[in-house]
Amino acid sequence: MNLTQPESLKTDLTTWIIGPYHGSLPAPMRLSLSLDGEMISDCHVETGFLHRGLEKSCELHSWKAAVAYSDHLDPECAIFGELVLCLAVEQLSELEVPERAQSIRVILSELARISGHLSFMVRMAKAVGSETIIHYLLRDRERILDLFELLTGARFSLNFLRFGGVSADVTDGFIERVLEVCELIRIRMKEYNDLFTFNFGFLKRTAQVVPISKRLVLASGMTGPNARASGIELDVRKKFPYSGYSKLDFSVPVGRGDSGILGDVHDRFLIRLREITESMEILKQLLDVVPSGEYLNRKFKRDFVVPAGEAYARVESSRGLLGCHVVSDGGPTPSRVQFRTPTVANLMAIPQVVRGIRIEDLPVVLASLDLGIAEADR
Amino acid sequence: MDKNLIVTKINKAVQGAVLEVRRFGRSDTRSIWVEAQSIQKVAKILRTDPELSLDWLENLSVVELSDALVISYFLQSTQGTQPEVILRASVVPDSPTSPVKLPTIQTIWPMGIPMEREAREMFGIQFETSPQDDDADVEFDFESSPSLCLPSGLSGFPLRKKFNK
Repeated sequence: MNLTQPESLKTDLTTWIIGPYHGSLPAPMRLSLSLDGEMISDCHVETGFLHRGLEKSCELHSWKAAVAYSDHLDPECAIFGELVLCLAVEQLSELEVPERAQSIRVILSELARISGHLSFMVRMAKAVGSETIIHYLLRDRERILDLFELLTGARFSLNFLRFGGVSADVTDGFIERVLEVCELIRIRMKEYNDLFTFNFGFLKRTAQVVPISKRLVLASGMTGPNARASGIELDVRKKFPYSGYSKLDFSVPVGRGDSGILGDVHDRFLIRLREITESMEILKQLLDVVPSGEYLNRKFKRDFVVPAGEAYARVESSRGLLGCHVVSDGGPTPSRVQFRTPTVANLMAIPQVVRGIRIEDLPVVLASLDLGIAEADR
Repeated sequence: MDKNLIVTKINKAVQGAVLEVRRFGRSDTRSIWVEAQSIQKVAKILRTDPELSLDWLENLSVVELSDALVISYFLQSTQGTQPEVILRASVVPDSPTSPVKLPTIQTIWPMGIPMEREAREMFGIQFETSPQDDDADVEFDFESSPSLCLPSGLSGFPLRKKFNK
């Protein structure tokens, strides 16, 4: 029993089981909580309710179908699953990606990052009970989904990348529309700041609430915005650059403890808001100079065979480090496709993070961790 | 940076543990193949030696190649003392459907807990603890970490090649 706050009620422990489906949970999972009055004294997390056998499915179908399956790794930000698989296969096949295709990939990745962070803000708004803001955020996110539809024909499962490039060139007016959306979100940032960052009610629920220490981040293997909010400057785009990120000028926001404690819920929120701004900077740089040329390496044909061997690639998804280990025996189907997803580490940190907090803070803390159960369960 | 430093250190601490050092795929990353039952001792050296300090387990992947299960630990140093390294070992199960045993690394790299659990459920690798595990390097509550839940009554290991065939 962990009595970390003086107002502990010292009642008998009660057990609450929340989930697998519950309004305060971001996705199917089950939490078994021990409560001492309003304080959480212990927590156990069960996952696996969304297990689809995704890695096994990749082994049973062709290499090209694996791209479509990896799309479903994280339905909110499908492009990252596709990208990491394509990068691994291209590394294995020594298949070069034309510069134009790389730029299109980065444009889609950054749009997906903004879309993912807006979804995160929707869940935060829901957790703190600010229902009105949800509609504002979804309205802006729709504009990004419109861009996906314009380019790929789909809003969520894009299935747009191919080994050696992308499946189609940018359509007329796409670049101008992306710039319009960037400008729109830039204007909206003031609105988000008013509604969230400087809002008294939001600060009350998030500032100095449940900080995550650097030590816990390292022990649990957390990456992405959650790790950066706690002061760990790890970004795959900088440390292991891919798809031309090394040529782009952008900074990696790191938690500053603006509300008094480093790595609290408010820091985890702010880091994403600042990342949206950085993503727009990246997009503006790219859109100024989209290189001309092919959008797909012409070596990639219908009878493309992935040579025997193995490779490991990683990308910075909106939730953190997403890795992919592929193994080929030279046959028509993958021998193994394994994903390393960031949410697994975030889930692992939950019991340590929520112990000693009030039950009313639980939905806010869960939302602040940005859990993508689909990618954890696979 | 001495490229053979890791191998020298491992060999000094656990004689005969290193079987082979190879390039990983077509990349420049090195993969160090070690004897499976010595994996925990090797892991401890890699993590605790101040010159190596490979303290971050990025990924744990299991692949079934012909009869063997190959387990790969993708390691990095957060202090930048070493470039990334892949530690590998292989075990051969008695039959295509029987479980195998390996020493656990979860007290050395706690972030490996969910990864080991997944390897156990999907590939039937039972990670065994030993008495010296009580002397964990990192404080962590191992009991409360999340669990997967395969459907009850499911027998076999779904990611094995011979599953359901």
